[in-house]
Amino acid sequence: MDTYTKAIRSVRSKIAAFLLLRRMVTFVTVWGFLWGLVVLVLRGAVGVPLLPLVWGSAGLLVPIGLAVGLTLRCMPSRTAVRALLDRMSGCGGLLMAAEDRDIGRWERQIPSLSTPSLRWRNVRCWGLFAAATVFVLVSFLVPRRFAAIGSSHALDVGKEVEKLAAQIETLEEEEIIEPSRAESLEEKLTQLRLEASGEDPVKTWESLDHLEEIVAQTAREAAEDALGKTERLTQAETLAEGLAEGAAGMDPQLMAEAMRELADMVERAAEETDLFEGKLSSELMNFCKAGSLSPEQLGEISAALRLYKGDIARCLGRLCRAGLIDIETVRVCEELGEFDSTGLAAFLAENKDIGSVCELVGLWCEGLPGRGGVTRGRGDAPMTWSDGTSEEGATFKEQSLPPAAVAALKENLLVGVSIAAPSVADGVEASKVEALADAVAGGGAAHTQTILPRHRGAVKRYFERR
Amino acid sequence: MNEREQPEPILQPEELKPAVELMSKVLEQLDRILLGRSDLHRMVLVGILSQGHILLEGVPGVGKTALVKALGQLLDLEFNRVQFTPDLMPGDILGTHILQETPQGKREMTFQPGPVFANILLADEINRASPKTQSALLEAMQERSVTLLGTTRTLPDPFFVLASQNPIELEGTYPLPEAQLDRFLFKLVVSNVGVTVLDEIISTRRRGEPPLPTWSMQAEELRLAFDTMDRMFLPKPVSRYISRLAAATHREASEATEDVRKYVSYGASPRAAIAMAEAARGYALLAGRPTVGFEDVRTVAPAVLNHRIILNYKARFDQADTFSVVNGLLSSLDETGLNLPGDLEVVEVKDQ
Repeated sequence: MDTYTKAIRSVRSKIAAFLLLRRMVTFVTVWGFLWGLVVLVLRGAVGVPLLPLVWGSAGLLVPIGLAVGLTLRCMPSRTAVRALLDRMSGCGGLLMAAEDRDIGRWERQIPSLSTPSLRWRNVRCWGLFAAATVFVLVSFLVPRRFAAIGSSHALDVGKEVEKLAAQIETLEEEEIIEPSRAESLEEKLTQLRLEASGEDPVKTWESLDHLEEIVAQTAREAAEDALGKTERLTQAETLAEGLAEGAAGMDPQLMAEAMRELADMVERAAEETDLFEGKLSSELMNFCKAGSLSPEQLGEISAALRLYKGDIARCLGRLCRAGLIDIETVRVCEELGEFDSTGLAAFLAENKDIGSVCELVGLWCEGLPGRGGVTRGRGDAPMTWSDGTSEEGATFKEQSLPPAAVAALKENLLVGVSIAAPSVADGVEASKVEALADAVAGGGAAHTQTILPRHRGAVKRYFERR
Repeated sequence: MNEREQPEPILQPEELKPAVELMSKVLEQLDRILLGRSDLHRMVLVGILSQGHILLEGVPGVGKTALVKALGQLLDLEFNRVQFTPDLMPGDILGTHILQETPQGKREMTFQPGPVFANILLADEINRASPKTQSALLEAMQERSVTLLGTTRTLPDPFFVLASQNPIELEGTYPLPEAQLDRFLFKLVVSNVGVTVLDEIISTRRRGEPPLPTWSMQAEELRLAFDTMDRMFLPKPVSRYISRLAAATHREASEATEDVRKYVSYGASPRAAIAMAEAARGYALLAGRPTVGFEDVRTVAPAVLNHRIILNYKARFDQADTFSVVNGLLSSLDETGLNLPGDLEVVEVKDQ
């Protein structure tokens, strides 16, 4: 019986080996697809580097172990293998009976056992295994940018944000906006920077533009306000200087009025901003209100006003350097800050009946007509109107048109509009058109079009008036 | 079959030999008497050894009656033939009580046994009789006894019903019910003989009369054959295969084939599995082996299953018959029960 037992064991082992190999290939294939998927997910979503992921290959032991365990558990029974050998060898049940019973002399009649071979149609199995291997390799080798899933690409807006932050800081330092407002804007800016995403750049840029517009608008308003202040300060300074220069020959009443006006101007300047604080003493202010200022005191006021204007100019210069306003605004401010007080007192005395001191000073600062000069600007003379011109006695010279021109007038058609002045051509004029170059045109018309003889009939019919 | 609790030793060659020789003689005689049907004779003998009833299907004139008659002569068994007609009554088969006058002058009812009281009953054209008459055979075939007027009378032992039916001329016939069909061990198709055989019949036999057997079996010899049959060994894998085969004829079975799922309404009963086991034993005996092999089961399975599987209308529409369904089942079911995956197959290699 040893022969049969050996044969049965051999066939059983062969079957088990095939089953084990098949299970291993199947399980490793499944595991390969899973591993590749995990690698892709970890690389794409989390950004895990390659080297730690390679250690996942140790998990290969799991499917192999599983295959071994299942194969051992599901090994074909000895009875089934014996039956297989009985059938393949044509024993007619004797080999199977020998497992349970003593077959006695029938043992001699059992034919020699034919060892079966196993055939595994493994194309599909190995094909899937190869696919799994390729998938694992691809999951490791694919560049991360292709593997990245769900990761948001940050949008780099650092430069713009920094610039905007600097502008906000400038506005805050110049006290154009309040610290709370500045802080609010900076918070918005910070949030914008954090939320800037490549998936929706439009939103980010729109938000940036909106913030820039707010800041620029604030700067523009501040600049316009500064220009207005500069103009008023210039007027005040001009008046102070003018009074200082011409105080000796001025009418006391006019002087008093001028002083009051000066006091109003200075007071307004002091109310508008706290920049004026510390530049003018309250005692001087009182003298100014009382209208009893000496030329020296007028000079002090003038210097204070000048200092104030200087601060405003520096502020505008800083805004310009921050890119909040253009250089032209600064130039305008500088121009507004220039003044010439020479002769102001005499001007005031001459024109005291025309308007108030304030109006006259404003007029003086805007520039008197007819002065001209490089530094004084052009001197536009005032436009004055006198009586209208009478047409009595004026006649037009009569001139008769040639007959052809009169006749041609009836058939004139608009062919074009030119800014050049119309002129009467002398005689015939050659056509400038290519096909009709040098063709003779009809005479007397301001603009003529040469028509070939064979076209005349058609053109005439076209323009026939019915 | 008697169940034995103690494992009996397998029949040794000298114990098997007498029965095998007897059966060989019977086969030889049958082949001599009826020409050209060795396989049929073998299957009929298997049925006899299995003590089962056989349904012979064939057109008239193919030798069904001659076969049964020859069998009766060879086995030295009492043989009765009943021609089933539509007006046949159950009493015509089982027997009846008649009023008779005793020698003492008394009148009493005496049971007159019917033709069923024989060892072999040939029920010719069984499908022509009414269902009432057909069902009269049910108890006789299963219980091997007849109950009339409260009295049960045992039929002779052995008792076989060899019924025949005509596959043509189905008008006016009554198909056998499934309950009765299930009681037949085999349904064998008796086909026409070939030209050569027909020529020999015509040449050697006047009026087609078969020769008489030159030998017949004694009752003790038949008993010996039956006793030998009782000791035929059925290995466990083979019995498992028979069970799986019978189960696979049902649509809901896991091993059922596509054809079974498509065409079968009702599968084989457990009686079919028992019949297969017995018939396989008989076939192994005829082959001279004390054990049953897978090939024995494959040989007898079509004859056992083909009349027990009920097909649906779709099978009729697709012209599928039970033979094709059973053959499909035999070719797809793995006998050994290795349950190898579909892409792994065992290839036979010639031994060096």
